[in-house]
Formats: sequence, C-alpha cells, structure tokens
Amino acid sequence: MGHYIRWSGLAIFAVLCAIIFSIVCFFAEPIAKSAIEQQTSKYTGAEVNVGEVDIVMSPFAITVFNMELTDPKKPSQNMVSFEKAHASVSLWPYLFGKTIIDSLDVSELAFNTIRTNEGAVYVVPEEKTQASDALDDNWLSSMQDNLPDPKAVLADANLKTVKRAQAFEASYQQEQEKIKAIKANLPSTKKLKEFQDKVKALSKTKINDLSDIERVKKEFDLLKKEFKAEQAKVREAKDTLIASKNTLSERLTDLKNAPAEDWQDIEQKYQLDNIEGEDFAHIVFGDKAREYYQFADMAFKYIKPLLDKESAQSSELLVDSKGGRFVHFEEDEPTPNFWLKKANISIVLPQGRYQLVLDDVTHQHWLIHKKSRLTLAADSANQTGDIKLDAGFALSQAQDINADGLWTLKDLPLDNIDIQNSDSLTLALTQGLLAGQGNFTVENGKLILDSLFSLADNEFTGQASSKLGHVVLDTLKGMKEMSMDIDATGNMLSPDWSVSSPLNNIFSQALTQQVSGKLNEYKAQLQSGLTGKMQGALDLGQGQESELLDIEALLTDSDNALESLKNNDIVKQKQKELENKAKDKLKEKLGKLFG
Amino acid sequence: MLTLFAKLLQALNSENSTRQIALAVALAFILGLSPLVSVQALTIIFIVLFIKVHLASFILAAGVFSGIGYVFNSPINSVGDYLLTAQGLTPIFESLYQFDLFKLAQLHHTFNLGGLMLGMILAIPLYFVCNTLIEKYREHIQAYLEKLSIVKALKATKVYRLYVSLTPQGTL
Repeated sequence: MGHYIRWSGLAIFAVLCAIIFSIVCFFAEPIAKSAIEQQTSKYTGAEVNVGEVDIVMSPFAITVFNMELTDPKKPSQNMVSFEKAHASVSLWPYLFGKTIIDSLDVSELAFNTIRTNEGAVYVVPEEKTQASDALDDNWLSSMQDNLPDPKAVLADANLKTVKRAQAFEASYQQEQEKIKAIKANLPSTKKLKEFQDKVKALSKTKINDLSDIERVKKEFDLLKKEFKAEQAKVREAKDTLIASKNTLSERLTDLKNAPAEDWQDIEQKYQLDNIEGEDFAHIVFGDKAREYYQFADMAFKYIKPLLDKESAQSSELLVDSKGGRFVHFEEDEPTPNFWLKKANISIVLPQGRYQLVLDDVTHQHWLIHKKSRLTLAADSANQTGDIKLDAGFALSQAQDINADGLWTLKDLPLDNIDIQNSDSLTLALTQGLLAGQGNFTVENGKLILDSLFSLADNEFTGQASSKLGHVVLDTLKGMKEMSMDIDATGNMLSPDWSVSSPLNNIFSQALTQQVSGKLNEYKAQLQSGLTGKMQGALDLGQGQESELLDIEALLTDSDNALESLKNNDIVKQKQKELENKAKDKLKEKLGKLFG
Repeated sequence: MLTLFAKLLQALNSENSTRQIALAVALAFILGLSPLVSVQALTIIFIVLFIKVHLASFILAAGVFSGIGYVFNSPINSVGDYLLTAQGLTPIFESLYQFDLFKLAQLHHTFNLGGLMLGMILAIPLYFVCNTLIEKYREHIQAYLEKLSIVKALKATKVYRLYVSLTPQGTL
C-alpha cells in the first residue's frame, strides 16, 4: 500500500487548499471592491467609488460601505449613493450561477448628492435631442408668418367671393335680357290709350235697336280678346320678373355671405383658430411628467438587461470564451437565477426619509409563483408630507410584464424643481405642496395610468424671452393652486401622455388676447379686399333691384288697367239704354192712347 | 538555494519507474483538457499528490497538454455538445443534473464534459504508449544521448553535479 500511496501528498493537498482559502479570504475584500467598482462603472459609464467591502464567510454576507455612482450627465454629482448596503447571499446556489439574496439592507440611499471630487466619465451619454421649443415665439410668429400675403389671398380665383360675384354678374346679364324682352312685349301707354278710346267710342254708340246692341257686343268681345291676350302677356312677364327677382336675390345673398365664408376657410387652412385647441398644460408640464416616469422606469430599463443577460447565459444560445456553452436540463425544483427575497432600503429625499420594502424581486416569477412587491412609505420620523406606494409586478415566461399599483401623496413639499428649460422659457417651481393619487396597471406590456395631482401654495419663478413664454409665466405666477390630470396609455416603455388641466383654458384666454389684435387687423384687411371684390356686383344688384321694382309696378298697373277694361259693362249699359228708350217710347204711346 | 532546488528535484524524481511517469503523463492529459479551476482539476491534483506518480513529469506534461487543449478547443466542444444533446443520453443527464456535484463540476458545459470524456478515454492508451516509449528510451536512446557533447557540457555544470550527488542512480 505504501508503495503506491504518498501520505505526505495528503498533507501537501491540505496545505495547498488552506493556502488557496487563505488567499481568497485575504484578497476577497479588495478583489470584491475592485470588481464592484469596475463592473458597475462599465455598466453606468462613469466612475464608481466604494469605500470598503466587508465579507463574512459564514453565513456568507457582503457589506459595502459608502458607494457612489457618478452621474455621467453631471460628473460633480452622484446618480445614486448609499452609506451602507448589507446583503446575505446564499453561497451554495451562487456556486451554480444563481444569485439568491436572502436579505438586503441599504441605508441612506440618496440621489443627486454632491461629490467631493468630480467623477470620471468613461462613456459620454448621448445628448438628449431637445424637443422643439413649443413655447417660443416661432409658434406665435409662425402663426403670423403662416398668415398669407393678403394680396395673394385676394388674387386667388377660387375665392368664393370672386366666384359668386362672377356668378351674380352672369345672372344679371341673363336677367337683363329677359327684362328687355319683357319691356318689349309690354303694352305701351299709347296702346292702352287706344283701348280706352275704343271702349269710349263704343260707349258713345247710339243704340236704336237690338241689332245695335249685337254690334256693340261683338265689337266689345273682340276688344276683350285683345285685352285678354295683352293681359296674358303681362302676367307672363310678371312671372318672369318674379323669377328673375328671386334668382338675383339668391345670388346677391350668396354674394353677401361669401366674404365671411372665405374668412372661415382661410382660418381653417392656416390654423388661425388653433389657440383653443392647443394643449398648453402638456407643453408646459409634459416633459417633467415624463421625466418622473422615466425615473421610475429606470429600474426596468437598467436592471432588466442584466437579468436578460443572466437568462441568456442560462439559455442554450450564449457562447462563452471557451467557445462552449451550457446545456441546461429541467430541474426538479428550479430556482430563479436572481432572487432578492427581502430588501429594506432607506431613501433620503429632499422631502424627507422614506422606507422602501421589496419582496421577491426576480425576473423569473413563474418559478417562485409570486409577484414581486414594492411598498414605499414615509418614515415615521418624516417632518412633512406623506407618500404611499404599493405596487406589484411579475414577468411571465413569455416575457410579458404584468403590474399594478396605486399611490397617494399628501402635502409633499416641493422646492426648486426645474420644469422647463428652453430658449423661450425657463420655469421652476420654487415651492409648493403636492398632493395626489393615482393607479396604474400593466397588462402584457400595455400601460394604463391615471393620476390626479394638485399643487397648493405654489410659487413659480422663471424667465421668458417670447410673448408666449411671458404669458405662460405670468399666468402661472398668478396661480396659487392648480390641478392636473396626468394619464398615460400604451407601451410601457414609451406611453402616450396626456396632461389635462384647467390651465389650458386660462392659457388660451390669455393668448387669445395676445394674438387677437394681430389677427383682427389681418381679418379687416382681407375683408376690406373681399368687399371690394364684390362691390361691383353689389352695385349692380342694388341698381337692378330698383329697376325691377319699377317694372313690377308698371306690369301691375297694366294688368289692372286691362282687367278694368275687360270688365267694362258697356254692353249692359247699352242694353239698359235700349230698355229705357223702349220704355219711354211705350209710355209715350200709352200716354197718347189714354190721352 | 541551488541545494534546495536540487533536493526538490530529487524528491520529485524519487518515484521514477516508467509506470509512474506514464501515469503522471496520463493524468496530466486529463488535467490539460479540463479547466484549471474546476472540480475535476482539483480531483486530478488530489490524485496526483495522493498516489505516487512522477510529479515533475506531471507538471511538465500538464503544461504541454493545456496548450493542446487550447488548440483542440473546437473538437472538444463538439464532443461535449454531441453528448449533451444526444437524445438517447438526455434521460441520463437529466438525472445527473439534479445532483449539485454535477452542476458544481459544470459538466453540463460542452467544453468541460467533452474535455473530461476525451481525457479519460484517451488517457488509457496514452498511459500504455508512454510506458512503452519510456522503456524504449531508456533501452535505446539514453546511451546515445549521453555521448552527445551538449549533454557532456551539461554534466559539467554545478546544477548537475549537485543533482547527481543527491540522486542515487545518477541518471536523468
């Protein structure tokens, strides 16, 4: 046995293991410190500083003191910093590539703290492309610039005023022809006089016997036929005249309405009426709302890729440096690759201290059959303000995210918050008390967020360089309280925001006064031009009207005269005359008889 | 210092039968195809320290075979991939996967499993080949080498004189 076994080898092996273990124990903390700084700085793109790392082997726990992560956008500040973070990690699963943190305690987590020395930036962040400055005077002046040259507008042949004036003139010419024809066919005064003379002559006809009556009747009937014919012409002329009058009247009314209609079209075409439609509250506060959402969204954006990387490592797809890959099989009792069972984080904000409690944070919820939960509450030692947040989220195996939550804010003091920083307006909330409540749900990545905020005792400060900016600033300075409804829907990574507030009406009214002077002037200029376009036609219309009235009167008189001639009872008169003559003759004869 | 080095050489070469050298080379082959920080590497080192094998040969051969392992990375991965994805072997690996030791040894990695399998299979013929070669060397080639002027020059060095003084047989 001794020929094959080297008993001293056992001792050498034990010594080697002890040496390795000692090296690990001795160098673990500096190595961990260096690894944390390097890996985190690779991820954030800026300098990361760790004060000290303390490792305890049994039970395995790591404590990191004074960690600071430089904000790559503002190197003189820290993006995040904390005083102490203590994590109890299950070592055995860690050897299999699973990070199971039994508990995590972070104290004095703070944001945007000032660094003692400016941190190095290794990856310069992309400059956020400044959204178009919606409050600059370009908005206003582009509206004014959008106003077309009045001469160009008035020269447009498609203007309703121009077209209707042309239509009226064409109608006028047509009706003039008809009126000429009417006039030509009218019985003249001379003819009427002739008719009257004929009737008069008939009335002076001596009647001696019935044949005279017959003769008078025949002649009168002939005259009556003529009268009827002339009357028919007059009545036809009257109808034609009335039709012409109506046509011209319609055309004239259309013409008179044309300038107003043209102005409406111009307003719509050049969006001169868009003041009321403008969503000012969104323009002013929308960016800030998005910023706060993105702050909350940061966890998902920054942490998920890490967890995805872990998932990818556990998948069959990732090829490592040895050119090989892991092939995983089904575990009887699978556990997530990352699982933070319980975390207590104490957060320091300008508004006070808050306690954030996290339960079961993982990206493989289907393995633990639980949602991750997050609760945030004000520390009991908080001086003012209260905030409560209760949310939960879970990722499905198909990587669909489902979440829900609700929050309330009460008397949360705000100060020195930048709201707008554009060329035309810098706006900051100097102080205010924020209250609000809201809720959100995310179903398969689709977000529905409803929230209502009210701000009281607020003070705004800022500077404006545009008319619009001044209006916004002056309006806000005059408001001691306001409310705002902020909603978001759509893809949770890029939702559509809507900010509605009574502010919109207030801004609209204030702005309308600003722009109305300029618009009114423009409107007057255009309307004067349009009126000028139709003036010729208007004059025609008015002249035509009086002429038509005269002709109508003439036709009526002629009609009446002919009617009166037609209805003349000359035949009856002559009959009566003959009767009387016969009676007289009879009386005379009877008188002579009875002497 | 030189005395210490020579003593170490002597201590290292006291087990210099052909079988011990061949076994050392075979074990070094398995180690060379395994990751240095792994359960199988630790096991090999334990075996090498516990069983009387020629350590100097082991150390030298391990270095050579690590290079070979690096060069033949792709075929080793292919073997591991084939084994881990073979339909017929899936139930076996699924059972083994439930054991922590299997996962700790990362034998579900294509390079690790491929290296171990190839190492273990080829180590056996390698042992016999080495055994034969060393015997042949001692029988036919050693005498020829001792006649070479460079070897004579080496023998004149202080290190060699010290080594000889500690080596009973006075041979390499």
